[in-house]
Amino acid sequence: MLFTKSVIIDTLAAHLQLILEDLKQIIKECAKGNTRAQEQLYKLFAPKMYGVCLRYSKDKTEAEDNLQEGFIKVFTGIKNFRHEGSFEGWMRRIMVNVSLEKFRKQQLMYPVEDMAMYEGNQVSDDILANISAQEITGLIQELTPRYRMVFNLYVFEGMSHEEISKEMNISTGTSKSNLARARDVLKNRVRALYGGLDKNNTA
Amino acid sequence: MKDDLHMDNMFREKFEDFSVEPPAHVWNNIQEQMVSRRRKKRMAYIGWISAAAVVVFAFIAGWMLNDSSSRITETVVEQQTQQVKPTPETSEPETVQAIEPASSDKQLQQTASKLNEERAFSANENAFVAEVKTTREVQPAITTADRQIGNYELLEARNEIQFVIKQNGLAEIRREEATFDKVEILPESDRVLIAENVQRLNSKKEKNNAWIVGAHVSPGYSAHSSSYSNDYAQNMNEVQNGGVSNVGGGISIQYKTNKRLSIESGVYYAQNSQSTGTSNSLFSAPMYDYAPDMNLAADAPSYANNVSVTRDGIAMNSTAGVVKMKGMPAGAEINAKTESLSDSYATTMVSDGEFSQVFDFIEIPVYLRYKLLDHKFGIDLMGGLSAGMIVGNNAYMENDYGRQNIGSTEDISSVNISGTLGLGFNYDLGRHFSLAMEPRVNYFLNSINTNPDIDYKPYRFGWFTGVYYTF
Repeated sequence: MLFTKSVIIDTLAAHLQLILEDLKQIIKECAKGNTRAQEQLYKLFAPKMYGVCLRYSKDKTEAEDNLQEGFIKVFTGIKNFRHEGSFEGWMRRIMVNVSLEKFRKQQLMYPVEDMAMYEGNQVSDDILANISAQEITGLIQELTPRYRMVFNLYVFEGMSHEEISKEMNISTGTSKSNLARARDVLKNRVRALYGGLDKNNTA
Repeated sequence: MKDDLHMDNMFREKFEDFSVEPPAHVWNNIQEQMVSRRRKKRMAYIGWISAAAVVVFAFIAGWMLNDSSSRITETVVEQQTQQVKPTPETSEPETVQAIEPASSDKQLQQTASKLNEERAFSANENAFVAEVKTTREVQPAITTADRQIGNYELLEARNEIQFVIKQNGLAEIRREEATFDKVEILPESDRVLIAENVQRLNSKKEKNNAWIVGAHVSPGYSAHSSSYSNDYAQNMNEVQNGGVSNVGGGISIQYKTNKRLSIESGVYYAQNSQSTGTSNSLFSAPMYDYAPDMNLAADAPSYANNVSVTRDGIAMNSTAGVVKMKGMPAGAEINAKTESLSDSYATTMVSDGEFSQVFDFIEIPVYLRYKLLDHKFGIDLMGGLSAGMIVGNNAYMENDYGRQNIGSTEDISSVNISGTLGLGFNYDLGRHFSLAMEPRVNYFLNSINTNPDIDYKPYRFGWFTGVYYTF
């Protein structure tokens, strides 16, 4: 292939400025309600945001619903975007908020989960390195709603337990133990699914 | 703990550029929802506009009623300014006695008795001239709306570059993920097909120039603004001068020059008329040498006005001009100066029923139309000028004998210019057809009567309802 990875990266860098300017223009047009600009914005960000939504949902259907709801919120609220800070971050926050809102509404339906049992198992780097984001997404989706939410907010949004407890209406203690529990479950699943692979590789 | 941090970092890195193409129906759903949201918003907006329109129309209606009721009190006292030979063989056709409106009954009585005294000494009398103030102004305002053209082409071109980059970027990720089919990715051929369809759809949308033809029916209400010279007004018994409902219509052709602006012409038929009803003042005025029939004085509408009877016919000063009658309308009576020695009594025609004047126009308009809102439901602002050709000019007396055509109005000019202002609401029924509802105001800029004594400008409120067909 003529286009090596570095060539692609160079092209990306060269057009970065252009893209940022374009993005500003698209955002402005979206704020005016221009349908074409909305479509462009969607094309630009939907795949990434769908990735985020998938991580916060139990399955694809839920993720699609959240993505849809999130984009409606983006389009209706875009006139309030002040071009301070990253637009992608702003969008991502909206997507996360959609999931959070749903979580809060359905919270009462979720059973109280047990907070004990730390297994303290570790998974070797080799195994982790070989697992793709897509596979990890699948594993995260298998978590219970509360584990999934705490894990996502802590690991991917970089929130503290204090912040998480406020967002989710739970105590910091619950947040901490839920996170630990989520990690345990994930590690166990990784070992069960990919442990064999690890053994073969190291053997 | 350290291991946990390490794992978190590894996860974060993996998800840095993680993106998955969402299924196509998500975008379709988003679009649908945005459209329905916009529609809801628009309906609320239209609700406000309609409310405002109702208030405005109520105000105008109130103003018109108020205006015409203030005229009812105008009283007529005859006062001869010109000697007319009582013998009909020699009388001049153009002489119509001048009469004077007095401001109150009391003053009227005084004037009357004074006149009686004076008459004993001399047949000559002074003319008391009262001011007649019936000027009114309506200013049609044509708003020139701004044109707004969005330049999306540049945006489009740039986006294509972006898209290439995005795809290259995606290819990287896809290669990594090729082994997993947990998330479906559309085959390349489908992608190309979709892109082509989108492009074709867009290019269709961009076609802005178009011919549009329309057909309308317009129930409307017509009235007028007028003023007269003193001489004319003195012989005019202007009473309960009301507007008249009527129906017009026509066909229109529009050329859309860009997304928002279009120029329009067509052929319309329209009618302007007014009716004159009960003349209460007649029976309180003592100067008529006439004993009114009490049945006539009851609630039934009746009409009375000074007329000039000549060999050629009967002439009468009316709202829109001098009406020439071919003969006596059935059911009407003429009260001439039968028992009086002097000429100080007016010849009066009295009839029960209503007198009305009707003008039929064929109008050729030149309108500009500006789209305020361009969606399935649209709002236009339109305005312009029309040349109105008179094709019908009739006066009617409607009484027990039916609606009789009694003659026509003199000095009506055959071509007149009017201004129109309207608001169009339309709703798309499909690619070609749309329904339209357009309230329009039409106001004649010139007096349609060429007689310098008369300034008569009709106006019309029409509710144009019809269909448009876009080619």
